Amino acid sequence: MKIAILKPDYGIHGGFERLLDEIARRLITLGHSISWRTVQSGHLSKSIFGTDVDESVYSLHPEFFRYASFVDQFSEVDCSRADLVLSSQPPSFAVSHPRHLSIFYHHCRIFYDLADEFAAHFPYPEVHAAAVTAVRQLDTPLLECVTHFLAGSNDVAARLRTYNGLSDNVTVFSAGSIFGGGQTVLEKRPPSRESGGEFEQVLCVSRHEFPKRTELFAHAMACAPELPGVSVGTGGQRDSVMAISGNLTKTDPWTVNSGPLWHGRANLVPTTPIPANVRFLTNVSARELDYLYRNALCVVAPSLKEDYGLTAVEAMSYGKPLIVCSDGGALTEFVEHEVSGLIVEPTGQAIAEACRRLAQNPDMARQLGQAALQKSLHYTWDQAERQLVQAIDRVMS
Amino acid sequence: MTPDEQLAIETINNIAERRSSPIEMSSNTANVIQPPTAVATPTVAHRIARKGKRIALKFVRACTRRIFSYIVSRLAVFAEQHPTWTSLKVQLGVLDVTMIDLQQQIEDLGVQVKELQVRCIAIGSDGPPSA
Repeated sequence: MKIAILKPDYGIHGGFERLLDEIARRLITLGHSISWRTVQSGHLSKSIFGTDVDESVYSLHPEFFRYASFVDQFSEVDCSRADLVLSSQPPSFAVSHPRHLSIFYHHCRIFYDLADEFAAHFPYPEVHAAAVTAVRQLDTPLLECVTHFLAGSNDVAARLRTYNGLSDNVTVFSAGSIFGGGQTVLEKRPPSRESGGEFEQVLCVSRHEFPKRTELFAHAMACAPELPGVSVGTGGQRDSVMAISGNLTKTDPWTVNSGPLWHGRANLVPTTPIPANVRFLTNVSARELDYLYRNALCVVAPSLKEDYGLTAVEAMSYGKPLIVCSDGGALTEFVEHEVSGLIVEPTGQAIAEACRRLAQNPDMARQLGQAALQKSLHYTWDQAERQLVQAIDRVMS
Repeated sequence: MTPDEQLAIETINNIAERRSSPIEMSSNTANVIQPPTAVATPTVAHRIARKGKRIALKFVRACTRRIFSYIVSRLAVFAEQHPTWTSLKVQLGVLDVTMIDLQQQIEDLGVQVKELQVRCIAIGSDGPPSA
């Protein structure tokens, strides 16, 4: 079949992009031909559905107007020659096609499940309230035209049910680890140091963006300066997170309230040197990331209401215990507290205490890591491929 | 609220309403119509393209009874607005109504249908788009 994959192009190649690459690779292996249809964020128009948007108005809520422009442009994408379209990030589901499968990992979350968190510090709350209503008005009829959804997790499926009343045509898609070409890392990696024994760092692999909440990792590392920490990732908030990390050296981090650190979302500029125990890395090669995983004590995933948690699956496949937050959404589906990882309150202090607990109890860290490894075996690409093929069959039938 | 904020809200609402409202069909341009928001679960979508005198409507999901009612109501409006049309070609993603049903329902609304072609898009009968 001819399958068109639709995706907004934000100019980054993160975890979700690698997931789509793996899906495309598997579809090609199954004999399908793939074409990519993208809309680039840099090419968005400020005339949206025939409404010209002044710069002064646009600047009051660029997130909304950018999203609406994406909707406009995806609505115009002609996929008539494709046998099936596979939409991905929102609002690529705006494409019109009779056989439409959506790999659905999230809505545009600041207009849905993160609307309140976003509005709490947005300077124009009434504008945001109007935008929330408008986005849902835009999305609802489009989502209802999707033939079938592969939801990234039970959490995501629940959101489709809550916000859109969709459940009959929704099944859950459990992607495997994407690091290492989509194969189980366990099968490929060289012998590693045992978890909880000698280790080199506490690891956090995440983009520095609003819901990822890497500020909590910076805070935790400030609270536990004896533990080396490595953050891997890029993102719009990276400078701010580094600035927070440096600023925390000037105070007692145990007295700092974590909430304002990430709620503020200020565009800070690092002026104070970051603590010696923390490194912020970007553009890490696969080989380097493999090394970091193998030699990690544990992996911290501090996200708020995560959709799935590709990093979590990777960490588990390395036999590393996960530390996630109680409001981590789908991340908490991976972790059974004190069995395969630790679920803690969303504060830097709680994460620091959990890291120390593992560092001081190597046997515990080893046991949690082994349980995590066993859990990771449930998330394989062979299983994901079966789910994908079943969904395609449903769409085509 | 500042005038700029008020203008932003008006612009946002305008964009949402433009997208959600049916657009008057032009005789020589392709249009996208959306069902009115007042219609519950308007699952149909709806690219309408005009090619000569033949109008193709594509509805992209299984045709439930409620959607079917919506399709009928829209066809009735179009037919009233464009009495010179000689045929309507209706394509439904999955068809569980017959052509006679469709024609009858439109005529029940008081609209005379001169010719109505209903074609089911199905792999095997119509062939896939790549065929």
